[in-house]
Amino acid sequence: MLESNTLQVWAQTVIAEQITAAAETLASYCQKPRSAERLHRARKGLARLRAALQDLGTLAGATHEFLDRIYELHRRAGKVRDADVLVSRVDEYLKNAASDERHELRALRAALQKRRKRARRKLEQAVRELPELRG
Amino acid sequence: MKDARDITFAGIADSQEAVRHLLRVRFAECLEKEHALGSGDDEAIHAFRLACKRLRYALERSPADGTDFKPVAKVLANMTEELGAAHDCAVLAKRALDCDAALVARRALQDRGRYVRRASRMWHDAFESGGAFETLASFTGFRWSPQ
Repeated sequence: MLESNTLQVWAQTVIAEQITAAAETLASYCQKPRSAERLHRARKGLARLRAALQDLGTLAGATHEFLDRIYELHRRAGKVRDADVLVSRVDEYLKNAASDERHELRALRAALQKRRKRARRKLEQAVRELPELRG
Repeated sequence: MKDARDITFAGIADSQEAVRHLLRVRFAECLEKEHALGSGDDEAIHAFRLACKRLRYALERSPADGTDFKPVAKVLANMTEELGAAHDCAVLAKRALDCDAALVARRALQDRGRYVRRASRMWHDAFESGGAFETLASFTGFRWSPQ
């Protein structure tokens, strides 16, 4: 009994560290939600928290509901991050594209920007629904 | 990360043993999915990348007495970065086709192939004698024949 309690405390400590780290990156993102860099850091913090919950959540006694909410927030952040990355790649391609390709790239860039705008709105909504991580 | 294996710790007495068990399961997941690197299947490659990330995160937060996991974590970080870029290119190609941008799709798929090949080299190099995975294999009890 003592051993299993010790293991549980260890698992809870590991997860608590990840919650603190993720909350810090998320709070930083909330201060400047247009920053691609801060979003990237917040997403990485959420990914680490999610992985810790997948590894040790059962042992620590974390609820499925909490894991689901972290999963959803991470997914939403991922949509915005993906759009940021794809727009950057399109910009890279534009630097040495021939005229036909440039035409395609401009149309694609506009479509990606629309996606990013939608994704940002949904992420902001998801952040509002998880007050315990907003710091 | 939906397909992460559930881990139970029944019969495990202390945190060092739990770390060993956890790393063994997460390393096994990567080994199960490594065939994706030669498959050309974007979904399978993505699943392999996520398994490698789970292993890396577990390594980075799991200090093990007398074992330095930094080199393994570094290889996994570099490799997943390449696979992340490959995934971005695969998604870009799909979005490009949705917008009738065939030239962009072709270019993105060429880049995707290059990133996967680089990641594949990193993964296989890590299994060579003295490679980055030797420490992890020894800690978790995996063995393989030298390449």
